Order: sequence, then C-alpha cells, then structure tokens
Amino acid sequence: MRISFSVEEKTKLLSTIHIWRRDQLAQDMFRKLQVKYGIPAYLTETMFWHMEILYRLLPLCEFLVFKGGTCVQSYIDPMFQRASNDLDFNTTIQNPNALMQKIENLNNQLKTRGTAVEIQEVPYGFFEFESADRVSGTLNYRHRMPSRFGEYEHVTGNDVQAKSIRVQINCKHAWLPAIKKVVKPVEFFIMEEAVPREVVIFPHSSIEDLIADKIMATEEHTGRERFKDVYDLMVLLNLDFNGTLVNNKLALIARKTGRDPAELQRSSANTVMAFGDRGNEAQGFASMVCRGGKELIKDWEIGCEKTARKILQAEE
Amino acid sequence: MMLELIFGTKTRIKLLYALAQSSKPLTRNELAKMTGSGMRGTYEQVEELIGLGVLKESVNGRSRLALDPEFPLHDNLRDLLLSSGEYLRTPQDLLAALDRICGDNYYLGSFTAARQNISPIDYDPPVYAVSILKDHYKRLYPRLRVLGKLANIKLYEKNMGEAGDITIIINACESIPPDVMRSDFLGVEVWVASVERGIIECLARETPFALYGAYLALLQNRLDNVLDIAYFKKLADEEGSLPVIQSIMSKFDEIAGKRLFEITEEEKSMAEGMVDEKEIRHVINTVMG
Repeated sequence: MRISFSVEEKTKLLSTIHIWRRDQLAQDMFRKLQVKYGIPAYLTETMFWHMEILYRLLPLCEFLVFKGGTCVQSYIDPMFQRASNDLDFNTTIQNPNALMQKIENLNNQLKTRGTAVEIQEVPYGFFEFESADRVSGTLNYRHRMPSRFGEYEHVTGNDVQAKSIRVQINCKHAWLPAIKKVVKPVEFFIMEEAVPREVVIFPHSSIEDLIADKIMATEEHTGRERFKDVYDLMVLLNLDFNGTLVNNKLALIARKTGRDPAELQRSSANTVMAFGDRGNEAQGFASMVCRGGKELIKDWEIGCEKTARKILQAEE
Repeated sequence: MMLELIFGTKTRIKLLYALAQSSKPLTRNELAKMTGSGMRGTYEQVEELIGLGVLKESVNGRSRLALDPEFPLHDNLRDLLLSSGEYLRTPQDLLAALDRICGDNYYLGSFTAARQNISPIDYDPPVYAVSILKDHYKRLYPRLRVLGKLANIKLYEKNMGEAGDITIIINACESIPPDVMRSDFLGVEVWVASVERGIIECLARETPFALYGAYLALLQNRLDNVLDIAYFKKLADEEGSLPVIQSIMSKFDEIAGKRLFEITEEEKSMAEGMVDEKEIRHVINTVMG
C-alpha cells in the first residue's frame, strides 16, 4: 500500500531539516542546479541530504573521519564534482558494540531534538542499523530523508515517499583512520546556489588519504574497479598534495597486509590504463559528473594515461 | 557405558590423571596422597579400574599400579588425560578463551588496562577485570563461570580469600567505551581499554585491591610517558571523578617535590576526595627511590 502524507505531516517532516531552508529544498532549486552543473536534479537532491546528515553526525565527529567518494567532492572545484550516493567514514572506535552504542545515543539525541521522527510509523532521520560486515569491519546504517522527487521506498510493507542514504562506518581502520585529518567545512557544488544556514565543519580525510584509498580501490583483478574511482583519482591527482604522505600511507597499509607498496601503485596504474580503453562507457558515466568533469571525460583515454603516469610518479 | 565406568567419579579422573603423568608405577598409598582422595575410596576405585582392564597391577615387593598398555583405549586415554592437563593452564590460554566466549561484547579494564604498557614493579598474580555488556551478561556469565571451576583459575567473589593462580573479576557494563582497542596482550588479541581509563577505573571504582596498586600504575605510566594527561583529565571529568584525580595528582606533586602531573593552581583548588597519603609515599619510594 502506498502511504500518502498529509500537508501537516509533510510540513512536520521538512521542519526536521536544520541546514536548509524550506525554499531551498524545492524541485525548482534542484532543476536550476541541473541546468548549471549538468547533474540530474534527483541526484542533486542527495547532496543536500548529505550535508544535512553530516550536520546530524557532528556530535560524533571527534570519533569519525569523513572519507570516500562523497568526501572527495568536498575538495574539488564545483564544476568537476560528481554525484555520489553513500556517506563513508573511518572511526577511531574499534569495537563495533562501542560504536553502535554511540549511534544509539545519537539517535536518542536526534529524537529529543525533534530531528528524528516517526510519521505514520515510518522512521525518518534515525541512523537505522542495517548490517555489519565482519570481514571489512564496516557497520552499515540507513538514514531516511524525505524525497522531493516522488521517489518511493518499501518500508514495513508499505510504499512511502522517502530517500534513504547509506552511511557506512569502518571500525577496522581505527589503527589508521587517516594519515592526516583535515577539519574543514564541507563544500559541495550545491552551495554555489543554495547557501546553507550553517557551515558544517567536519573532520575530512586529507587529499593524500583519499588518493591512497583510491589507489587501493583501483587495484587490478579485485572485481571492484569502477569508473567513479578512476575519475576521482583523475581529479584528485590534479590538486596540490604531498606525495610523501601518500607513499607513507600506502607503505603502512602494505606492511599491515603483507604487500609491496610499489606493487599497489603499479596495479592501480594498470587498472586506470585499462579503463582508458573504455571511453564509450565513460561517456555514460559522464551524466553523473558536473560540466567541467564532462569535458574531462571527453578526453578520457588521454586523461587515464596522465593519471596512470601520476600514480607511478608518486611511486618514484 | 564404558566411558562412564572409566571416568564416572572425580576420584577416578584424578587417579587416572596422576598415573598418566607419572613416569613410574605408583602404590595405592602414593595415589591416595597425590589425589587427595581417602584410602578407602582410592582402593575401591583402583580395584574397579583393574577389573575393567584400564589399570595394570605389578607386584615387585610392593604392589604398584600403572595404566595398562594392553588396554585397547590406552593411547587415546593417556593423550586425553595429558592434553586436558595442559588446557587453559596459562594466562594466554585464559585470555584466548575469554575472547572466544565474549566476542566483541567485553573489554579488559581496570588493572589489566592500566598496566598494559608497563612492567609491574611488584609481582602480582595475574588478575583480569572483564567488563561484559549488560545485555549479554546473563548469557555469557555461565560460560565464564565454568572457567572458575578449573584448579588454577578463580572467579572473584567478595570475601573469596586467596586469589587463584589466575583470577577473573567479572562486571556488567552499560556500554563498551569508545577507547577500547583490539590489542596484543601477552601475545593474545583481546579488547583492552586505554591506559587512562584503566587507571580511572582502578581509582574510582570499587575493586578488591588496595589503592597502592592503582597509585603505582599511575606513577609508572606517567614516568614512562605512556599517560596522556589531557585525555586522562577529560575521561576523569566524563566519569565524574576529576576532583579526586586532581587531588591524587596534587598529592603526588607535593610529596615528590616535583611537577609530575603539571597540576595548575586552579586545578588544585578544585581537588577534592579521599587520598591515601601513606600509600602515595610508599609508591614514590618504590618507583623513584
């Protein structure tokens, strides 16, 4: 059955949003951003929710380090940013039960504050535990937000208008949550048109951490190689960064996992080169990328070659 | 059933274990002494075990007993007895068992955490303070309790008298603290709280130990530069024990005549709570001479 919310319920739901004004969360705004940046409006909406969720996680920020694809976007020029789905974090809390307790406490705070609510028994604004991956040490949470685009989710047997964002927190990297933590404002392209009520200052992984993580993510033959990781490397390696720090992080990971750090870089460079042959598929991926990035993808093969060279230069 | 006849009583198991360990045949009197069983009981059990073919009697002047190598289960029986004697003998064995039983739902705190990075000056038998998540306590406690039935391990109880070769103190806790880390402790991977939290638990919680041990851990960690003073104070504040911690640190500075803990005048004015001055002097003498 499809659940429809009354006007009062919709108003109540939107009043739980702290960072954005009601008029900024309108389809008009998302479409305006689509015209300017070239990313579909429904994907743009996600970036608004990402900012809001990061704000909600602030009480835990001493234990968290923002990482992954969404974090990469916070460093790069708005015109080169891309849409991303999940929010990923490392944590200094190594014991999963300790982390779950912290999240539970946060849920209680959000409920008391009126941010986490239940409307027609559908929970919004809670960090709902979904699963734990013991091997990777990741706890997966879902954070349900309202959808302004008529997207529906199946919740306890009913279809409700909602958009859930996956929040993944990795406990196993507590030994090295980041080689350098950067406490800085979150900066997404949406902020060029919609100024948030409050700047969200959150601990980010450094550019060096992100490059090292993406090098790990683009290792050959893992079956996890993806366009978005290659693209992120392409843009990250154009930023100013400290190559020694990248190498240090890779060396630490290699020592922990009994690998050769140079081999990690060679493997990543090989993956990036191989992706260079997939220019046609890359054009499909370009729909998720802002206009500057779309231009970059037009020269995909050359971009991949340059990126692979830069990965190998870091090795030297 | 044969196994019931062989292992049916505690006395039989003790007799068989003593014989499996012995390099030579033993008399009935020696067996009774070694196992702490009465003479009559020993005699009765021995006769039955001879009847089953498990034991063999040799008479060379005096009657002596040994496991009969002709008994079809002799090798298995001897292996089982000897290997069971070795099982869970060491602190490492116990820690591995704790971790296996409790999974992610526990941590080692108090003295275990406080002393994880220092070499204790005074010898103490191993004591492990295990905090188990409240929600799992009911399920896990019986699994741990059985370990206390082993000869070398004791589970702490009020008025328990002497500690065991290894003692476990089990508490229920509301939550696992965020600074609990997977650490290599005596070569075994276990969940251990931070040094700072360990010391605060020793000082602020009721434990079966004298304050001396807690003071000793505090000073040794400080002198070894292991203690993060800022984090220590922050934690103490969170746990509601900052005034007493400040009081202890002030007293250390005062008695040692040195700024060991860099306590400010403002912190001194906030210090409050019971401090055992005599034990602090004792600790300073022990560690600093």
